[in-house]
Amino acid sequence: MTPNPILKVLSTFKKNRVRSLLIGGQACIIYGAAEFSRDSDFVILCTLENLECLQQALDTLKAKLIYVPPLEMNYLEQGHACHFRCTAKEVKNLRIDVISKLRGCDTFAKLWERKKTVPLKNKVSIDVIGLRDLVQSKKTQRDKDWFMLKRLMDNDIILNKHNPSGGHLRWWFRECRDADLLIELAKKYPKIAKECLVDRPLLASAIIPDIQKLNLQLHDEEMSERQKDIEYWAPLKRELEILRHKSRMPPYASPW
Amino acid sequence: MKKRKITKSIAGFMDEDTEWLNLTPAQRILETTKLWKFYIALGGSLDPEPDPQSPFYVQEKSR
Repeated sequence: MTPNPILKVLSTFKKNRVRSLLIGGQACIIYGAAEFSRDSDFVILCTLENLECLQQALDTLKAKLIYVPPLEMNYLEQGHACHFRCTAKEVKNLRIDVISKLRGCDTFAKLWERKKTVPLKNKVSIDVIGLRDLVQSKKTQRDKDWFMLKRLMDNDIILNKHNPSGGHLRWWFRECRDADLLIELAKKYPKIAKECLVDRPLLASAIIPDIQKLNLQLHDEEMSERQKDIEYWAPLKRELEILRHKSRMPPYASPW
Repeated sequence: MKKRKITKSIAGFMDEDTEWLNLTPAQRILETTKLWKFYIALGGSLDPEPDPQSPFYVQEKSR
């Protein structure tokens, strides 16, 4: 196997001109919130042309579809993910998951505008989802995603707290999940904290400060998002069940 | 806005998390590549961890 099979997938996607952005575990590595991940997840542009490019890339990697649904526009447009396992020698058994619509996130075109490009050696570069979009994409029903979201936020604040822009501060006030950090920020930037109250009323507890109440409110906020994610996936899960029975494929066991 | 390197963690010494944060994204990719070698050498699985919270998780009744 190649030293880093993810890089092989990325270079294959580039060679085949697949419009895609790295998301998930690999994106978290790039932003410093993780050290290692087996995930190979992408958000892709959902057009016939791009799906053809993707299929060519998958053919090069000898990637086989392992679960429903098939790689078709209508499924991707609804929000389904497609799951593959590579069989080419260099990337044997590596999983690739693709999706074109992330709950709560912008269109691919907007994600693409805000992407981060990481240059590597030999003129190779990686296109990864922007940090703010990655944070938004982590608001799911899974514990591990909220853990990672918190790490992404905490890291960004640690790295940039000495001279943040107004826009940066507003984003922190909107997304930070740590009560202590929110209180510290509200003390340091009370004016911006008050401005952000409209969008996030729990900031009032950071301004006072009332850490107990703030923690409860942060918890409620998270639970609300988890519930939205459960409701979002409910009809998609029903459809997956129907497709599974029709195709008689084996039961699915967590793509990511 | 230029990112400042953090020199000490809250505990007052350079811990692994701080070292990791101080790397550039490209450096992190290089470091994770080294981890891949170990992972594969130790026979690590490429299957994702079973995650009952995933909307796709279906318990395999046959197991």
